[in-house]
Amino acid sequence: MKPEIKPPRLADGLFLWFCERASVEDLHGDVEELFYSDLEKYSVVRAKLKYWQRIFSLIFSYALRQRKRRAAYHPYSSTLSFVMLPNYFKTSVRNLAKNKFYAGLNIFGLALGMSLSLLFIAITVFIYRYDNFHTKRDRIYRVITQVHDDVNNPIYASTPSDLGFILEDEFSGIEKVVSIRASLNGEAAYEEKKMPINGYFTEPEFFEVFDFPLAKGNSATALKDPNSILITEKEAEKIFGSKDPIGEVLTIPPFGELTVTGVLKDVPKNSHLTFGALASYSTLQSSAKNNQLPNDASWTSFLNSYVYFLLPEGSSSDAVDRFLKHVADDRYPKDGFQASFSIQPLNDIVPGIEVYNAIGPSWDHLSILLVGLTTLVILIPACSNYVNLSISQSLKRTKEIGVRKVMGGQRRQIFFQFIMETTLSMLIALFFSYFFFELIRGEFHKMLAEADSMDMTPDLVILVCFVLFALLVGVLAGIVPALYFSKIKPINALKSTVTIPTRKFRLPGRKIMLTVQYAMSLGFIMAVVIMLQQYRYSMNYDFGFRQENILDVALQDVKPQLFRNEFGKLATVQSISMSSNILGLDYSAEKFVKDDRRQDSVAVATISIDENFIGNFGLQLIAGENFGADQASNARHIIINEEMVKSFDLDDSFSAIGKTLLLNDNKEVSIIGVVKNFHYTSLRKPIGSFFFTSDPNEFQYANLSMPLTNRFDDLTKIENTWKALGSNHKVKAQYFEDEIGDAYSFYFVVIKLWGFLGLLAITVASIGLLGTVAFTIGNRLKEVSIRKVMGASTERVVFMLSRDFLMLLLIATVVTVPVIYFLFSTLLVQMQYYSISVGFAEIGISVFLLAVLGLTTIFSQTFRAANANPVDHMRSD
Amino acid sequence: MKGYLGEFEELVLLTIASLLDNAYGVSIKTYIDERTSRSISIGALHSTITRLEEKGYLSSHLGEPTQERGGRSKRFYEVTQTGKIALHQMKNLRDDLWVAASHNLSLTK
Repeated sequence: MKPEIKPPRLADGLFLWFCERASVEDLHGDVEELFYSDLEKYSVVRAKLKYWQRIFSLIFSYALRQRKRRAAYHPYSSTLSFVMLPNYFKTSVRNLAKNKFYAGLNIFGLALGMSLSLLFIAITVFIYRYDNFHTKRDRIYRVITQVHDDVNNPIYASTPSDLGFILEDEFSGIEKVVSIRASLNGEAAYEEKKMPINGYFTEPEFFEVFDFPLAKGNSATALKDPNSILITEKEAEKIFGSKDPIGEVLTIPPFGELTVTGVLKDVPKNSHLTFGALASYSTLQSSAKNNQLPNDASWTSFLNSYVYFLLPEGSSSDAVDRFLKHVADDRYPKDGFQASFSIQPLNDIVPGIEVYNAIGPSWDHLSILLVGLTTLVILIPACSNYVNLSISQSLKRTKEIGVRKVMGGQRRQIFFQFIMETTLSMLIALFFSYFFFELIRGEFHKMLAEADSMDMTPDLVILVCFVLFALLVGVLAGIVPALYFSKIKPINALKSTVTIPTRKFRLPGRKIMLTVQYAMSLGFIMAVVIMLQQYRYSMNYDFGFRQENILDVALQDVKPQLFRNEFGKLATVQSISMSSNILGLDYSAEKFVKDDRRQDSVAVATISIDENFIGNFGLQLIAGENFGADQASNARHIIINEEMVKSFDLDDSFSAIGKTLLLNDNKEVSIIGVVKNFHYTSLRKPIGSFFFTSDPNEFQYANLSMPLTNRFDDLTKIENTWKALGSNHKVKAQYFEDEIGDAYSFYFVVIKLWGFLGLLAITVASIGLLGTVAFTIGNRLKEVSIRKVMGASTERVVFMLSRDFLMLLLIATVVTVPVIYFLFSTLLVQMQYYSISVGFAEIGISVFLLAVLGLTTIFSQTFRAANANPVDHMRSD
Repeated sequence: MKGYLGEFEELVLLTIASLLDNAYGVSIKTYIDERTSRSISIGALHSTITRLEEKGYLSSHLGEPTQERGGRSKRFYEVTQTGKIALHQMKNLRDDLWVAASHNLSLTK
């Protein structure tokens, strides 16, 4: 035996490194003993090779793996001992209580950030529980139609009206088919009362497929006979009050008299079928027979007809699919209109693919995802602020970690402790967040029309989701600080030589995060300011006609002539004109106009007016003349705008007079006048071809020109006069200015929404900045004191402390301004044809706002530090 | 699979039993190497020992530090009562099978 020959040291090192804390003394001894015995038999090289071989065989052996695992789970250092939980909890609470300022900031920021996510969760939970009350929902399907027009191939939720009957008669593998016609819209009259009503025509099978219980009446027979109707409890209450509605008769034009045969329980909010009443489908057929209604059994019309069916248990939908394909091939000849049918399970309707003609509220996955992303925009900064602040805060706690480790605390335990702390703060934040959530929920309901049909009252499921969400966020946000702290070496911690991680890599990360947050905040501010400007611009836009002092009264069932006679007597009314639409708003009708030199007719916007209209609205006739008093001659004439002169190649305005055009392919009209271009529709669309006709049958509104003296008095007078007309309806009158305001109120929704998001983003960013500034300064107090003692002026110190953060604001501004500028320059034009471009004023205001916010945050901290008495901080050690 | 004893496991158990007080890694390895004229790797041996320990067939204790192993101590193994029972069951099973199969297995044809 040659004692000077030792086993390879590298192999030893590798082995010991690999084994970590596992006890391997015996194994190591074994290989060494074998090595020495090998030395006697073989060459040194061979023995060393064998040694390496054995080391590797051990490294990859089950034995070593088990020993390592056992070392990690040694009874004296088990990872999660429940005994420690109260201690962790106590430490967390004490730590929060000790740093009230930071803890408060942190929790407030998180609560704000989470509130939006809570709203999103509530929405998502609501959406994913759509239609879950139908017991047979797994077997209910709906037929949808895809039209192949080679352009966008739209998918409709509706089908041709006869498809349901074909499916019922010619196909045997279906348990129940129910056709729905969603056209029961109108005013239901009962005795003196009139109530708007919305509902469906449907078959008795409706109740066998869906679970809509009846409060009164028999679901099997209620919809059997023609002219029977079921109404919901809510509607019944409105129409009949406390009276028993069964057997009463409602008059709903044009469907006639319908007898109430039962009362439905109110439709749950999470139903994609929404109705206030159900009438028997046979009503439609019988009224179609009497020619009261056109029977639109056309296979190219997808309006309002829906087909649902119930598959027998355990059968597949493939056969139905094949049958529908066969039907589609049959009805749509190769070279004509092309469409195909497919089926959609009830569970996939909401949320589901985007469809046209959706029967009720619809949510597609994409929009859910978008809303989710928006909430993340707020949540992620809030969390990253939390991570930053908690790391910087916990640097003071390295001693605690050191002691824990020396006492036998394992890395995993420290990790768990910090995760627990984060989760705890998260739960506290959730508590506050809930109040914010309640606040936004109310606003959200007001803000979005869609939200109206949503029920987001938190129930148990939603609350559980909230808590789970808070725990998830807690774990995610806690990982970074927890990893960082569990890594600290006890010796460094106890000697207080833990380097501030900010020096190396974390500070840039933090700065980037803050910059991004400020950039985002600035983006929101700018967006809101620009939208406000846009709103003001649209409101004050010169539409090319008189906008002031015009009161539009809906004629409803009053004859125009009668109206004119009665209202003409009012002293305040200067003049009255009649029209079919209101100018400057989105809806103007279109008619097809054909010029004899052309092949195709063109759809042109039109409004029907009387002879007073042009004068009343101050429109300028460039050539020709106005309509006259003679209605027979008016019907043969139209007045066109300048744009139409151009697009129909009518040379100039004067030569256009007297030319004839074909209206709707059957009516020849001649041009008697040309008006100057004006905005007949909203500013979103460019001015196109437009013409006036004059047909008293089309009049829907009376436009009263009345000087604005006293709105209230005027309206009362109008109301009194209206009553004298003997109409069954209530007066509907609105000032034109208000209507324009309403039409652009969508800007307001956008402003409110973005303003709110912006407010959240700014608050979260400010909290992050405040925390970071306060922390950085807190670490530099001694330096500041020394500088001051050495003679630095307060301004100098403030500047020195603020410089980094000012830079950050500057970068945010420089990056955001051009991005937002270009974004909105393109976006605004798309949104509204006549829009104002983004000006310097808006940019200036936004930047100023941001600067005020940012600088206040920064200087509030730096001034305090700079003005502090140096003695206080120098003395501290 | 508690209770199941593999061929190599049985071999190791019996070796440890026959080595009396001197059953530790190297001695077990050399004993098996010599008797079966096959070279087993130290990793495989220790893995098997670990498995046997987990099954409760072996117990072990660390010995005194020794000179020839770089001052490291040996871990000595001993067959436990359950280990012995398992060996006996195995042997009984084999004996039974041998009795039953003796006719067919007779080498003299």
